[in-house]
Formats: sequence, structure tokens, C-alpha cells
Amino acid sequence: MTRVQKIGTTFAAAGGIWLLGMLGWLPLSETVRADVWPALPLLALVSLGAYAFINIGYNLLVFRECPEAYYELMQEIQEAKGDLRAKNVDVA
Amino acid sequence: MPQLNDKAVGAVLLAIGTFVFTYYSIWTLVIPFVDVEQPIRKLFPPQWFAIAIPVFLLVVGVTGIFGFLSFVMLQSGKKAAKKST
Repeated sequence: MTRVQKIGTTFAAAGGIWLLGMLGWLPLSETVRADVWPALPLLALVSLGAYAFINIGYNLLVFRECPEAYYELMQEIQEAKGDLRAKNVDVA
Repeated sequence: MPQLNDKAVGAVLLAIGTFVFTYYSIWTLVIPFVDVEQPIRKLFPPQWFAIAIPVFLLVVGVTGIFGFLSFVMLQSGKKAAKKST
């Protein structure tokens, strides 16, 4: 089973259960059926967006700078540009 | 200082993400079970908005994405037509 199939089946199962709840086939209390249940897909979507934000934000915060790698990379770029110019390639 | 700028952006994203997640989770999962007179209800708008605001943002976002796509495709179509004349 590929990853796509796994995600697809999870989605289909969750969607099916949610639809059953919306159609009234599940034993839900009145407040849950009227207020909580319709908002569940939106909660999932909002949580996905928030998870993406948190992930990116946290990784941005803890990412450690490596100055030696920076200088080494800059030098390599200069060398590569020199090589390409010598071979008549138009570089900036 | 590029690294300070990155860290600031990261901190802001983290704060927005955690705030939106906790606020929306409480809004949808906890508030419906709280009596109408409790003071905590004053912090949250009526339940209608809990569904209206994300749906509205979704519609705006998807419209924006498709609009941008069509704009880019029209422009490249125009460029291709110009080139062939």
C-alpha cells in the first residue's frame, strides 16, 4: 500500500464517518450534532495550516548558522563562475 | 542581520500557528458545551463565525490562486501569440 493510498483511505474513512454524523445516523448529543460536528472538517483544515506554520516557524527559530560553510560556498560559486566565463558562458 | 530576521519571522509564524490552533480548537470543541451566561463566552464570537470565517478565507484564497493562475496563463498566451506574428 503506497503512501497515497494510505492517505486516501484515511480521508475516505474520516469523511464517511463525518457524513454519517451529518445525516443523523450516529448517536450524537444535540449540542454535538448542531454545533460541533459541522465544524470538524474546518477544524482539520485549520489545524493543518497551523501545523505547517508551527513547523516552519520552529525550524526557522532553531536553525543554526554555519559561517564556514557560507564562505566556502561563496568561494565555490566564484570559482564556478570563473570556469564558465572562461568557456564563454554568459554568467552574471 | 539575516539570521535575526529569519528568527523573528520564525517566532512570529510559531506564535500565529499556536494561537490560531488553540483558539479555534476551543471555539469549536469547548464553547458549545459552555452555558450562555459564563464569562468565557465573551471572548469568543457566536458559533456561526466559527464556520463562516474559515469558509470565507478558503473561498478568497482559492479564488486568488485560480485568478493568479489564469492571469499568468493569459499573459503567456499573449506572449506566444506575439512571438508567432
